[in-house]
Amino acid sequence: MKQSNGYIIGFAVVTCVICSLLLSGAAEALRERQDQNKVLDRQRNILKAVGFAEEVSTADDAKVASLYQSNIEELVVDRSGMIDSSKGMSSMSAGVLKGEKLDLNVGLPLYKKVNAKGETQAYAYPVVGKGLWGSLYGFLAVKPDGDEIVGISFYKHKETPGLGANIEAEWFTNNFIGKRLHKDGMLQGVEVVKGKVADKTAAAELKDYYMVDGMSGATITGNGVTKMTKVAPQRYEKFFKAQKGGA
Amino acid sequence: MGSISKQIKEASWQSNPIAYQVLGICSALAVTVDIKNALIMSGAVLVVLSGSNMTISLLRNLIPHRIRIIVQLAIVSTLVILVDQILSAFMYQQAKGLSVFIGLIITNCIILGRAEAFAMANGPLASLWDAIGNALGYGWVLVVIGFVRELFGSGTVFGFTVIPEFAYRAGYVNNGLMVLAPAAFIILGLIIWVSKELGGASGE
Repeated sequence: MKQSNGYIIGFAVVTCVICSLLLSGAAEALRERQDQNKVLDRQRNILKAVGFAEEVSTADDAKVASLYQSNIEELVVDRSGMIDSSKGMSSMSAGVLKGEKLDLNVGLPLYKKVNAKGETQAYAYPVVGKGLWGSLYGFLAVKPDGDEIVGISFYKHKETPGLGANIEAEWFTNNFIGKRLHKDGMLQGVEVVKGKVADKTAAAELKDYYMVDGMSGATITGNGVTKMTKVAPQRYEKFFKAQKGGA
Repeated sequence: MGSISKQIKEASWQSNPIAYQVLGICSALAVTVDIKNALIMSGAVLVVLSGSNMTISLLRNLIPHRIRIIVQLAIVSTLVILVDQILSAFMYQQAKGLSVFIGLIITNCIILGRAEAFAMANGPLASLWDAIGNALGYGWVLVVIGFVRELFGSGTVFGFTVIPEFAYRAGYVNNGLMVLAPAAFIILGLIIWVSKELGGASGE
């Protein structure tokens, strides 16, 4: 049968309207849950980075939220490297968890891990690098000296499942624990080597502090992580220097 | 009705979408590094394919012939985005693991292929059985490839280590090729061969 142009256009319009109504309805109805998932997922990753990996792996959402509440303090560092507690700033670190865009002119989010005695044990901050398919987002946690890595975790990336997506895997992230960001006082980062560290170098210093095993089939992702550990901590250098100076 | 099981068997075995129609190869390479991803992907395809086949079949006499492909595409993409949204609301970790591949179901030839070849010409119930049969056919191939690749590529099944520690100490190494896409091609070729020998993939 031959349909008139009017019918065709009419049908197209109706189809489009129904589809878009369905989608916007679903997006609206599910948004709150999705946002909540995002926040929880990021809290989970901050906790993983600062050393709660074991607790978090079995914890349900409520447990994650309470662990986060009782162990992590959300801070903002201003441009001169000081902790800024002025009005409106405290919401920034929380905003980062919701995926809001980071405004570097305002400040840098920082997540402090305090133990029951009120001692600072680690600082975690968001890091961004470039993978094969897109950006890598994660949290890097360091000791209060800003040098020794306590842990690293990735919460968002577009890497190939099974290959580059292994940056989320425990065997990979665990290798970063105890590594150092600085060499002879200069920021140097940790190198994700191609293959195994043991095959790359015999130097104990490099092996122990500055290199981690790579992921097979994901060299470019590894290079992205290498670069990330070199670049991302730069912004926080001022803060950690000021901390040392003050102590 | 015996004809339902016959139809499902035919769609998933004799005219298997991957092994015989050679559709959906892209995703068969991409998400089969481990079984879990293969399973979730198959589930998502089952939902989308059933939905699109039924909807398109119900509308088949209304859809203007000249713009039918674009209408089918609109329906399929709506369903895919819905599945993606629902997964990210209720199965966040799994949705994260599959990342872009859920969205890429839109480009899976099986969906449009079945819509164009079957749903446009048959009633909604027959289209549903056709969708289920094809999705199962897609699913079992994916899971088999995923199983082989995960076992030999990472030494695990469903994420549990099955290759014992002493094997590694004795010099056993995970096969790096298995984690890469070419391995899926090879396994896929073997699957087509074996299923033809057994009378599937239209080997009669």
